[in-house]
Amino acid sequence: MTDEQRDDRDGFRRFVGAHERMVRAALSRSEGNASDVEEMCADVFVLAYERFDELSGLDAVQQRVWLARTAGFLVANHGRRAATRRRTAKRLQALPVLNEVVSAEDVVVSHGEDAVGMVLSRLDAGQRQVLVLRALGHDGPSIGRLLGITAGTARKRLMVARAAFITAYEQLNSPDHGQGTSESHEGRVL
Amino acid sequence: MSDVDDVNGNDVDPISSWISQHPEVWDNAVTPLDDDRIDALVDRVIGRAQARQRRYGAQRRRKVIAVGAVTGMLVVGGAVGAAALLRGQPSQPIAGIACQDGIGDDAVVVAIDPTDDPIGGCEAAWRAGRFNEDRDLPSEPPPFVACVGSGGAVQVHPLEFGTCEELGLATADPALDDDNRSVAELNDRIVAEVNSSMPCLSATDAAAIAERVLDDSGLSGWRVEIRTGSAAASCAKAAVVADRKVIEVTKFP
Repeated sequence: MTDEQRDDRDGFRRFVGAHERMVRAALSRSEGNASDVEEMCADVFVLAYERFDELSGLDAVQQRVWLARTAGFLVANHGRRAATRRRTAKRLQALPVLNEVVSAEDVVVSHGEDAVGMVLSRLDAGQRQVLVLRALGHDGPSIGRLLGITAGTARKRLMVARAAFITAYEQLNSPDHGQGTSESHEGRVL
Repeated sequence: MSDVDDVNGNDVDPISSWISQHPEVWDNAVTPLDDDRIDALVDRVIGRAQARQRRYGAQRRRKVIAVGAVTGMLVVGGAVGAAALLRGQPSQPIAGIACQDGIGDDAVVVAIDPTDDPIGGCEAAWRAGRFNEDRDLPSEPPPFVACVGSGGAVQVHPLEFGTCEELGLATADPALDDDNRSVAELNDRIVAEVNSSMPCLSATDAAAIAERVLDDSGLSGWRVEIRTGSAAASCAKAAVVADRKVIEVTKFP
């Protein structure tokens, strides 16, 4: 391996390390088994590798938009016959990396100081996990399967997580909370 | 947040809606891969991308398309033929014709039924667009040559990839000789009288009919065999195995 190839690999490895969780989360919506998801994850990153020159020039949020959209296409085509999947991959190769918005999921705004993002970050990891899985389309039984717990336990965890979210959100917007923060979220009601 | 309590089991709630629009928080759904697994993923991805580049770089891929009744018995030859096959008659006369758009592992192969005019058959397949699924080939076929491929079947490919001699293959005779024609006819009769019989024949009956058909063919050195474990089968089919000069009866399914 030449120095240049090693640099390329290192750069791509950082890219994969930064985004693999998001990609796997997006693919978890697939009805395929774990090995299908693993295969699709590799497919997403193969497409990314082929366009890495373009993608590496984007910021992290734009990279995620592209990865989320690509994963979404692959999930939608999973289970179709091989020829259809091949055509989808070819179409994805041809799409510009900064495509126009094609779905609500592509609309990404930096959450930064956004209240919801801030509240989410205050929950514990398990609570964030079930809320995100729910948002990605998993129901109680599906979350249960993914986490190795019963559907009932999954639903209970989801309820607890929502309650914790509401409490944290209300605390964030209470008059006792820092003036700057409450002003910055004035008018934001979920 | 007043409607958050209503969301148990509902499709959309404000929290989910926000999260679904923010891939930057999706990481929370899964645990991270460890370094070794990330390295393995990266190696796999780069290996696959490079292999794909090589394949698409040539804009070709190996594909075998069967046309008509020809079955999967066709053995497609490579670029180098076996010296022992340097005769103009195929040792697999019933395997069909391998029409190829090139030579080697990345050639597209269209299999057509056995015919006395292999080049004409492949030209017709070319004109019918059988080779043209993913590529923009000229509609008129190139000059073809017909060889006996290393698998023993007739192989037809564009002359620009080399003559049969240059590829170490025998030039195929213009037509099947009497023996091979008899084998092709034998195969046709076995298909019609044994394999298409309704209801399905027992192994014993299938073998008896195969013996009669074999006698009628006038071929010498051939025999009928019932495969081990198939003798008591209530339903059996027969296959003509030309290179072993055997009609083999096998239980079905």
